[in-house]
Amino acid sequence: MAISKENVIFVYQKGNSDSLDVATDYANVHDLNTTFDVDAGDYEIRGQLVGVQCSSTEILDNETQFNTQVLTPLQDALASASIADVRSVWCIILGYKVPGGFRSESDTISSTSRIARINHAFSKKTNNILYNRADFQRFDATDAQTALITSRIDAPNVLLAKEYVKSASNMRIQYTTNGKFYLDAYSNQIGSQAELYEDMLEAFREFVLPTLNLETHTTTFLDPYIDVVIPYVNGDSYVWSWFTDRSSASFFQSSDKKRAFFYNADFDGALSMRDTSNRRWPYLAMNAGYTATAGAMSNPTIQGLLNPSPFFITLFRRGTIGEAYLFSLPFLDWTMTLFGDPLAIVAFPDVTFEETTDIGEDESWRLMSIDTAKAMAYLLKKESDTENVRQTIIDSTDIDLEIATLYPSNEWAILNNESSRKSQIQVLAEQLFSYPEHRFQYAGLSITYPTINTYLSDKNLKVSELLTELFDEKVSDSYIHPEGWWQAERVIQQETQFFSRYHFQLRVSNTDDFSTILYTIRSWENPLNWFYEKELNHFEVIPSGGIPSNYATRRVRYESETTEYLTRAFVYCFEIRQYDMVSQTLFSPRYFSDIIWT
Amino acid sequence: MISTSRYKTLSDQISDAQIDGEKATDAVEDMRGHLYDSEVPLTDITKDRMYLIVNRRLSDFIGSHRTYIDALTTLVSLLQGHVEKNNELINDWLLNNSVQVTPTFALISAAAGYPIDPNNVEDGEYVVCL
Repeated sequence: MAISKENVIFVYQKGNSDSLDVATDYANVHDLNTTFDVDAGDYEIRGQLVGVQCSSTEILDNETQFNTQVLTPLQDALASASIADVRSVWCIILGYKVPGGFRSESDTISSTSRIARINHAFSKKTNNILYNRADFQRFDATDAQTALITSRIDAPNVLLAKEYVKSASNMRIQYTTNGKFYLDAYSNQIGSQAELYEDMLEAFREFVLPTLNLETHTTTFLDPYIDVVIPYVNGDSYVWSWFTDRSSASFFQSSDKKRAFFYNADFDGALSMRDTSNRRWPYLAMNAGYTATAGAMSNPTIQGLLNPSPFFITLFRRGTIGEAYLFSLPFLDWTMTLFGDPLAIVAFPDVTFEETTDIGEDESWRLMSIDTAKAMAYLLKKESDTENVRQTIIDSTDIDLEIATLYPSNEWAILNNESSRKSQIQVLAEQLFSYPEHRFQYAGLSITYPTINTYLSDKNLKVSELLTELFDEKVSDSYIHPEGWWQAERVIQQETQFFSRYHFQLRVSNTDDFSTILYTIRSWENPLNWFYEKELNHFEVIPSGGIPSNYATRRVRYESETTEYLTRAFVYCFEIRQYDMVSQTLFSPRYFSDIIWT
Repeated sequence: MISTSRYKTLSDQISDAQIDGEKATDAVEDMRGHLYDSEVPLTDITKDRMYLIVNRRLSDFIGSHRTYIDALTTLVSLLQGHVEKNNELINDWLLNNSVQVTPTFALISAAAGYPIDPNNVEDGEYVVCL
């Protein structure tokens, strides 16, 4: 079930009528419950509004002050019957005059980032396991155990705060944003991390931005020491830039388009939302009418900057801005803050997302080739089994048994002999091997009317000899798996609520109780033949540091080495276990069996 | 007279062969599924033609390997009849000799006219690898 208004709590400063006023405005926009429930001293509850007894200081001196004024009262409120018995809280918004952060050594920790992990102990700059998941999922109850969606609506004065809420009201139902997308992928930041972030932005520009169907304005790379800037925006709905960290209100020219989300990747944009002389981006963007924006209260490091791809993939797939932010945020208990309405949902012009379970054509062909080879391998095994039945009867010294059962056992064996086996598969294999030629006779491959060898070469595929031996047409040896070659493939699981880097252990046995172990293979000892599904249906060698846990739901694959080949048409048992490099934990085993189909 | 060990060997071999045929049929069924789920629309003539052929072949597999063909049921019927001719009723013989057959063999035997009591059927004891 996706997040709804029922999962939201809005926090205000207890005893401050302006703060309550802003909270009530937000409640009215989303039709939240505001019925007074309880005054418990440190906190009070009015339906989905929670007042905490806090100071008006924007940045508290330390974690202790923050815990006393914000975290603990809020924890108590969430645990109270008025909330715990009524709703599951997935989203918390910190309102007007609620502290926006606290100092921790040289860092300023964002209140929203800390509150996102309200159910966990403070762990500065902890990895966000919901960040950039390889396969998109909407935020759900399981995710909420890890981190909550949080945002902040604060301003120098109550009128501005109420204006920000009003901006949110324009997006309370899915709103088609058809303004321009301004993207600035270049900055004057240098070093390997800066290059990686530029690569990230360029990947976004190449692969995700075109799917949004928006008019785009992008900057051009000039020189590594020159920060190319967007001079101004007009008619804009989205801005994603880095690094120039100060600007002015004149940057935002008039726009008749709905402004949805603004982000400038810099190091202190979110330091203050209450300073009227503020020239930092989040403050300017909110004043320009943006529904939401984000920024850092102190240096988040370049690795801590938001990633645009998961952000806009989430929006494209009808997630809220709060979800998009959380999925694009590398660290929690850290310096980044989302400002504005986390429940806003946007749409993009003339594009709709349709959920599909279709398999890519080449992956479909690969799977079919394995299916056909497995069918052949099982028939080969059945041929052997029926022959064994006949031989057992022949070997019997019981003449009566032999007389009674030899004829039907012989008939059964003949029905499953080599000739029968091959004739059963022949038609399937013919269809499979002629499919590429017919499907791609005019386009799609390096030549028209591709032969099976061309197809296998172009797609980097191999097939089983059990199939190729059925044909006169020669499939090149280069595209045939050696006899006994095998692979083991399983979906990567999310084993914990914490960020992990997974490696894998595979054990292979020829007994179903694993009393005999043929091989024990560990990716952390030698990742060479281990692969993970980095992009859908595209596998790469597992890095020596393991696979980040955001690849859970993707596949891991092991391909056997020559010395590990197994017997054709025999069934073997496999046990796979994930190993977390971070906590050095070997997780529970999963078992499966497979026939050797090569 | 058939020994219990030879009977057990035979019944297990028959069971294994039947299971292998069923697994082969499963694989053809998977092939049909992977073709159907491919991103290519079913209106594509190449996919449509292949789908029809795979579907037809799947029906053949089901007929040959998921059902109990005559040669198989005749074999099992004669095997069980042989035991009863020389001993006692099949279920009593199995019980008295502590022989248990696989669930698959029990199903074939029932189809051959010799139902097996649950006591004489392996309970599919826990194995880690299925």
